[in-house]
Amino acid sequence: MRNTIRFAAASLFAGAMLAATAGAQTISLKGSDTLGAKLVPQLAESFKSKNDGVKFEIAAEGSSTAFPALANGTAHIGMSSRQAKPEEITAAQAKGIKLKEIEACHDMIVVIVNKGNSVKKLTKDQVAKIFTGQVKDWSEVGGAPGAISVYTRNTSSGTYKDWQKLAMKDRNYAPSSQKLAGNEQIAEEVSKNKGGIGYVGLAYAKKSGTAPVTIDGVAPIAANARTYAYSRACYLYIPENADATAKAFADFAISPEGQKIAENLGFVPNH
Amino acid sequence: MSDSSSSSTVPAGHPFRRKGRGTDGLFKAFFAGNAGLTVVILVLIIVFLVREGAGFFPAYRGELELYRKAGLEFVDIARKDLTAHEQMSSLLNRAYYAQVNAACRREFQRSQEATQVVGYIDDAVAPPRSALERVTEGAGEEGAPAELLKSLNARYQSLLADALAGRPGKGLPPTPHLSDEERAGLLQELGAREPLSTDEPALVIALQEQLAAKQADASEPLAGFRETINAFASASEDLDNLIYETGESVKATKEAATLHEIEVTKRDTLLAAVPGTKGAEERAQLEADAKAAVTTEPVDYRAALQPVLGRMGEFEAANARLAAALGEVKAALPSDLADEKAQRYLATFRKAEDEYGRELADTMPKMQAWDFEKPVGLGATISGFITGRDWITGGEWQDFYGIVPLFVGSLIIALIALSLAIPLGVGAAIYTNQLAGGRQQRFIKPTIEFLQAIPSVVLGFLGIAVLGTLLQETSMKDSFAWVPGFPIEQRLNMFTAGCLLGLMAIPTIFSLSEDALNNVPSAFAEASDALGASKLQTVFRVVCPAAISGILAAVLLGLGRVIGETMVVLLVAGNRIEIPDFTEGLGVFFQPAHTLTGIIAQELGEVPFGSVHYRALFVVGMVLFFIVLAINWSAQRLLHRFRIGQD
Repeated sequence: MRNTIRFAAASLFAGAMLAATAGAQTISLKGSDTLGAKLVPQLAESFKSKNDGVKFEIAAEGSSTAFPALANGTAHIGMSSRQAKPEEITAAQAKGIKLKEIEACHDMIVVIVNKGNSVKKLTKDQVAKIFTGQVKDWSEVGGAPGAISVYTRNTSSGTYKDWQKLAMKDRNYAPSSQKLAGNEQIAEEVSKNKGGIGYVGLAYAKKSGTAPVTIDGVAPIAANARTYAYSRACYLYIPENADATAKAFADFAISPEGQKIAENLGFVPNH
Repeated sequence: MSDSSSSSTVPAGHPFRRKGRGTDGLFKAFFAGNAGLTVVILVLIIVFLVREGAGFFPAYRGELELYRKAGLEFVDIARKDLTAHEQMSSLLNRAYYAQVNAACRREFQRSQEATQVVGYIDDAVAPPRSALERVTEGAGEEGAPAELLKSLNARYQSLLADALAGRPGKGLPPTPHLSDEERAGLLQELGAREPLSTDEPALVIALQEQLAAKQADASEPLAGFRETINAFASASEDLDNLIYETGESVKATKEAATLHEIEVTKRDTLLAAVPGTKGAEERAQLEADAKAAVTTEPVDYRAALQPVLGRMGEFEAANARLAAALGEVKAALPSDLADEKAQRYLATFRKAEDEYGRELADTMPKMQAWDFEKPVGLGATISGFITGRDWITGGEWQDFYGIVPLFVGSLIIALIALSLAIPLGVGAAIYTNQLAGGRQQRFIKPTIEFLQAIPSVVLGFLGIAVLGTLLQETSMKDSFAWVPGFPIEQRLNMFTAGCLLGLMAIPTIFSLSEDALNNVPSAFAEASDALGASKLQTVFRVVCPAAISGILAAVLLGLGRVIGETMVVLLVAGNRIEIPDFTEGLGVFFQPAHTLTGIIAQELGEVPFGSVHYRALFVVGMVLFFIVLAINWSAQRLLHRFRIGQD
């Protein structure tokens, strides 16, 4: 009896050891919701089908989460929809980690309104005024009367800051704006609110109940990536001394095949 | 210890005696250890909170000092006028458009109805349509497989036919303002449309044109008003440019100062690592790195501010222009507008005029008296945190940490929750304890207490998916238009969050109130019965007053639970960091808000460790801790103070 228990314990222990060695093949990615919600999981699936035994852990909670995680060594690759700030690079450097920047793809931030809204065209100036709270009623921009409800990402999102730079001349968001956790939630709330307006990544612009807005006469479609006002690059950050699997994955992301996946999801590939 | 053992009846030296004492001691030590550990953990938590939070005020003060020294504060004094002016212009614009659109109500309705019909059909045929789109886009040169195209087209046609007959969903939207021919024509055109065509139907375009023509007509008599508004709105151009230019300049100063500070920190970090190194080469490398780390000079604030302060004259001119524009607009505005809504906006403008004028007059003296070297007091920092009306984080300009909007949000949500939970919880307790029969008691008690077992995140989902949507849809009905705040625009709002929190507080309030009622000595009720009081008289005149302290304590503990709850408010309350607009009366409950708990959950995950923002969230945590502590303490006090019949 005792022997059986010992044997069982030993085999359990051996199993645990095996699982631990297999765990060495795990790539953990942290950061941007824009990249981490759809693109990186799909890249991971297709990478897995080629490389047996590789596992992925993906946590998409906003670009700002990427850099502390890289510095602490809790992530192998950081996803970010903005460039790293100097203090973030310094913080990583202080812990002996030099970050390499990889431009994964381009993304367009699309302004969406409720489908029932008659306003389908805005100028850059009008967009800035809506998001800073200078314009409060749809009638001021040529729509049917009704209060404007502004939905934005929250402060952890790279998109939150990108949008301030791209669309609002660095001014603060209107205090009346509502800060939501992700693209999906913004699209959801805009689809439920007749007076809603928000911004989402291109991949999320097709949600039913919402309609994309043409900015300065340029429609937000991938073909217009160069002329559209609110385009930006998305990055992967990887430590220079990363292990081979993580590096292989980063290379896969910018390979033609990875770029094809990005394109299918509504991102704009690197030329 | 030895005293008690010597008084034992077990004779000395007996094995029982040794054994008993040994296990007794062990048990005692075990339980004392448990209690001690709990106390230690609690103390550690408090120490940790205070240690992380205490650094906040000095650090925030440092940030505010930089904000002042770099001149951002100076620009913000002028910016206040600009913001006020923008709000005033917006009011006039809204009045103008309300007046114009009042004449076009019918055109709006017609246009909207036609769009709704198109939207209904589009939704119904969306799946095959988007599939067709993808197939044709991804096909390349050889073209899409004919078989697939054919089947998708067939699917499209069948769905289209269904939709035209109004079968899916709620049926075709009604079009009371369109004539039968128009409706039939629209449906016919939609039926004949190519699957991939994105052209608007002719009727929709025609209706939009009619609307535009009508708007043009309606705005003709208002041309004077329009010009007045334009003149007023454009008066801020000078100030706008000035603020933009000086803003860029002071921001550059701040960035330079921050960069210098980062470099100094980096040098210090590298130098601190020097003693730990082993080889001389490595050490030399680190020292060289440290030397190379600082590349910038410290910022000379006085010199950097000179170009900004040198434009005081321009600021004065811009301010004068705004004041002049206000004087002109006062005289030129029409005294009355026919439309009720437009009139309301105009009246709001008139009411705000004087205050705006005073603000304009105050600005120049304030800007002239402004001194970049004046130190920021710690008291001012603390009161800025406690009474601050702005919580702005993650911005490029300046972060502000003011707790008032978060506190007000938490408070209103708690009020809503309690006004739901008190009647239900206490009422249920009174019924169960005093009036219900044994079988009912055995059913009601576990059922209500079962509510507590629902995880709050599940309740949050329920709130978004069911309660929020249900409330919003109900509020759209015309028969509820009299309710203040209806129709609800925001699906995520304080009311929904409050209702869910109320549900969560009911079990707490119920069980504790029930206990309190149970604790009332039966002699009270018996005496009352003996005096000939009816059952209800006994319950409400004797038992409830006797248990009131326990019931109040139950309510307070429920309040503590509501204030501390996070997940539900984060998901459902709407996360708008603004003090709710109380001018809407009871409608205020249907506005979104952010809360003390929600902000910690939302922002703590990603703030850089040790930053001012991180510490600010810890201070919010401390505030929360003290609020809940105070609530629980008063609950305890209440219980002891009014305890009757027991001692």
